[in-house]
Amino acid sequence: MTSDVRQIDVDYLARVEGEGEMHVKVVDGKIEDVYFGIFEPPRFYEAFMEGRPFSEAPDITARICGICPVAYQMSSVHAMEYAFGSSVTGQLRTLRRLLYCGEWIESHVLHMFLLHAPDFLGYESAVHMAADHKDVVELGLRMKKAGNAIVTQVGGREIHPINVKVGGFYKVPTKQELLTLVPELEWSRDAAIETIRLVSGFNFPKVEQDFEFVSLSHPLEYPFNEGRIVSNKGLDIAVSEWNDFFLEEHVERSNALHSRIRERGAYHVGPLARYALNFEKLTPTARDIALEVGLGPVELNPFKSIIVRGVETLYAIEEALRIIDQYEEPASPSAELNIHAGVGHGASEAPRGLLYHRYELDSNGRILKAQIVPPTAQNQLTIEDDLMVVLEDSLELPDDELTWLLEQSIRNYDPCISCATHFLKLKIERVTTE
Amino acid sequence: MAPRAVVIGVGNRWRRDDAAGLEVIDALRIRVGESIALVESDGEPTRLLDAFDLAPRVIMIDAVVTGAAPGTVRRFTDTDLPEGMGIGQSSHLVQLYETIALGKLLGKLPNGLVLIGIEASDFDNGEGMTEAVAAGVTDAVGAVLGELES
Repeated sequence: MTSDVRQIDVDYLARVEGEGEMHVKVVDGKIEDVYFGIFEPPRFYEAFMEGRPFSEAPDITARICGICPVAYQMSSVHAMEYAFGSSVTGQLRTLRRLLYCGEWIESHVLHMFLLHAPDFLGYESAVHMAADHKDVVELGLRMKKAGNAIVTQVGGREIHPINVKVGGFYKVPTKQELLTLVPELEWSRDAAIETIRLVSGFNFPKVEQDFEFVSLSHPLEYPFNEGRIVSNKGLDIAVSEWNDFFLEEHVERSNALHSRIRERGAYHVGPLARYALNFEKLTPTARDIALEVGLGPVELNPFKSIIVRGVETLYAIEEALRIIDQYEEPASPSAELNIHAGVGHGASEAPRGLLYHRYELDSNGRILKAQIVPPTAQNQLTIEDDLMVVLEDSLELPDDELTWLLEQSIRNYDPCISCATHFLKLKIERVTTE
Repeated sequence: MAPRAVVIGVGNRWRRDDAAGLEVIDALRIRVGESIALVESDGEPTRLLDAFDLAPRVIMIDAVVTGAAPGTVRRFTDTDLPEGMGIGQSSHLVQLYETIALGKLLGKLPNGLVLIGIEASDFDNGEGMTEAVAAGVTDAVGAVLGELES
């Protein structure tokens, strides 16, 4: 028996921040193995927090991700407040939503313009794309700056916001400070509509999957910080029940934990899931433009996540404008806390999807145990399923084109930065046996 | 008064030697006046592009991996950037050399850029740089001050 092996090694998947790897093995024209793995700094951070006071969790977990520090802060403060039986209401609660709007704008715009659009337009990188489409890149950069400005204003500084605390904020902005954000947000609202029209004109591979979408759902709002965890296949649970219905498990060949719904398997978190489960909660403008560009109220093609990111960006801009318009400076920057032993659960919608935190605290509020489940870990099995579907349809492509398509498929999920870290090694192995 | 130069330290304090660029900024805070803008960056490309706009001269400090001895400080310009640049940072969605190329393309670096690279070796999770890299930080501070005097 002889065998002929062709394989491609790609040093890293340049536009996914992933210290991870992807391996595809094809034997005699049949897919034998598809594996996508990431390494997870959250494990380090979970251990690091043990023994530290509850009040440090927002600052420590914010460092897990340079792109979504707000998400980590929000899930951690909600978990601690749950443990202490406190709730943050009124303008403080609304300010948290505003901060989250800023992060969604930043993260979605960065991904659409600098990472995913080059895939669709056939450019190796944002630099190559900018050479031909300077105006498009500049449009994206200006919108992103409007998001940066919100995070800087409410979060207290540009990177790793430091103004968030359990119970609220250290300092709240004045109405006047927030009003300075308005002109660029108003400009960005039009830019977001232009963006949605632009990206909906891309060519989308015809791939659909019968996903189980999972996201938060709130009776009145498109979800950021609060709600029940629901799915399109009947799941409807309190955040505190996460471990009863989901399972994190070790998978051979990876130090990452993969999540699955107990007794069911893979599920999908992120923009497509939020959109499908909360379409009615979008602003009328966002709903109308979504339908106008051809999205249904549920979208099953993962490549169209780029359009949904555009729709969510528009939503975040409009929600930010609404919040600023109605803002009144709260009397106190934070709520009182009644510190005692307990278990806290928190979940919020990071740009990439549901982010769950759980903490066990002693009577002084020291962290005994921490659990952090990032969205990318939850999407890992779904990403593998997608790769399988894409591969089945495209095996005849030459290796370079196939590699491109697989990278693009992974980027549909905007795998996260330090949730994944640096380099993704991509390997396609074709074996012919005779 | 608009600053005459911007010094940008890139890094992550929680990835050991990757803190080097930020440590240089810390040291510079008491050594330079208001005519120099100091910026800390986690490598996120759009904020870096904004930082390029702050002053006509741009000096960047980053941990690099070029194969030299750890702690070695080397000067590069935007035309001879090291290939290993940006390795080990936690938020490089777009690699640093790509961000610099993008900055040039968008007209944000009319006078080019100087990069002071500090050879790093340990990018594990955790705080604290290796001894050699900590020594390199001191050398890099001197190198930046030299650039600013020239």
